[in-house]
Amino acid sequence: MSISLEGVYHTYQPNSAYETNALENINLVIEEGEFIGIIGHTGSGKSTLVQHLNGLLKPTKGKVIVDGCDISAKGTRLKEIRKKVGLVFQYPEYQLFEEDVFRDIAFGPINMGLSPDMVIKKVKKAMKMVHLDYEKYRSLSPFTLSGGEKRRVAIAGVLAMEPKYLILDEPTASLDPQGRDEIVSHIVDLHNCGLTVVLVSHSMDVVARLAQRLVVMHQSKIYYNDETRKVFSEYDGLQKIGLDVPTVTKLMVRLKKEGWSVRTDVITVEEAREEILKVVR
Amino acid sequence: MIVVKKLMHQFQNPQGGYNEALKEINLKINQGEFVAVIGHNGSGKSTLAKHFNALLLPNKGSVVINKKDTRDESELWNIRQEVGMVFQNPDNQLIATTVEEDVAFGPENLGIEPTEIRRLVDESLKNVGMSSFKNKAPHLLSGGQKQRVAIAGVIAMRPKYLLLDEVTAMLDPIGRKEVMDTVVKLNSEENLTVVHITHFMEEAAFADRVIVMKDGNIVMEGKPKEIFNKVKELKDLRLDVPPMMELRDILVKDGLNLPDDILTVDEMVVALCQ
Repeated sequence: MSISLEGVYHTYQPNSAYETNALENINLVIEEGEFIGIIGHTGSGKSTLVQHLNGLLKPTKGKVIVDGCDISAKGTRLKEIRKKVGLVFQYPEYQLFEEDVFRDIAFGPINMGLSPDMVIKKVKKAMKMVHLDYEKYRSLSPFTLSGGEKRRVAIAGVLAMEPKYLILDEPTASLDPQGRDEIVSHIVDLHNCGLTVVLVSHSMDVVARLAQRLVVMHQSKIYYNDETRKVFSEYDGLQKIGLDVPTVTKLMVRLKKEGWSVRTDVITVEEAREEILKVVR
Repeated sequence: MIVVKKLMHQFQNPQGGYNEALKEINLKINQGEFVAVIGHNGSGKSTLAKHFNALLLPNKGSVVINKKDTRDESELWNIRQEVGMVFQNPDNQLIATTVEEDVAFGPENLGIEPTEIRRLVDESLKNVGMSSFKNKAPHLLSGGQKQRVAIAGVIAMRPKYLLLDEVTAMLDPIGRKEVMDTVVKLNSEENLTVVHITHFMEEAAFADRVIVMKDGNIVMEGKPKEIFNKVKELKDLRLDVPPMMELRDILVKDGLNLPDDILTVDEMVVALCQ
């Protein structure tokens, strides 16, 4: 089972003076169980791309196939697809609206027409997944919570639908290091529980740590699509399109230029240490 | 100069009790300084900043801006004009239909003459590198551009202090760089005093002095290199340690002889290649 995009184009404001291609000829397969990072500049097409994965946007040309079902075709039951593919937007806490945490998270399951018992069960499960204590939080107003807590409530609202694929657009933006690390560790747990995760992020250090495969978007096209380590070893190519590599990777590239025989596909501080010690000892 | 003496601030919480957001802060910020304030959420950073322009008033202690006490109501507008503030969200701060009108809003409200407003607006937009966008609609700008316009709107009022409350938090790396370049330039070339609240350690590295807050107290204070060198303490505070500092720390434990003020890749390369 997988999500696959075949020759996808998306044109905003077609047939007008403002016509722009936000996606051009995207071919991409997301296999079940994968952890994929999507990086690229603002305006490179990342957010447009992920909105195609659950049918929020439809391709102008090309096909999007989720678990064998062509969701770009006319008459597809998108409700089923949206249950399967959960999308957490940027700043999801702005979408909280209910009086208390329970009702906010329960909104999806209630709309699915589930029985009250089932709704409670799903809400409890979703809250547990992001480490929010059910008894402590359920009757609090979401607006009294901290930024990191609000974001976890918003993510729980998506998880309550029990999606198979979880897509997160910049889930750590504007959180402090502690809030960021909490969200990151929940995402890792969710992936370990079998969810397929697609993570859009500007933070190279975060994607370097988490993603197995990286898709680099540039000017509406896929620029790289490879194992994370391999993508970051393309230092010059990434620089050319104005993207950075993790700081330790940069260090290795510099040392190599100074004549050190070190690997340049290093992405963690620990690996950098090993490489440096190999040379100096 | 900003002088904070024994400042205490409490917020009432929904349960009817009080939270001490600031416990007993003593601090001086000199004219022309670039101070970075770091700390996790809820540590009191933003509360402290809001005392610098009398958006909040002390429960105990005092905040004095160039000899003007924030508790003195008659000085309120003078203080606000002297201490400009820019906030986190680029979409919440621009109100006019064009960039230049937005920047003119502050000076207009100060009752400055039209020809002088024209001059201030042009100069401010030039200082943030946004002159060529002056007739554009703010909603068509990128996040970094919006924040630079917000900064222009503040400096058009000729403040002496610029307070930045996580102004880069919602920006992409390019936007962050644009804004930081602008702020560094305003500090060094225009001698504007800057107080920059941030989670990004690489931004705090630009400062003359870094202040670390925790639970309403100042727990560390010093030059960026002195602060970042305290790898263990920063980690205990659940703050980020710049990767090169962390690597240096590990390598020193492995027996390598490295200077204790490595912050950047360049410095690490130089140290290792010696």
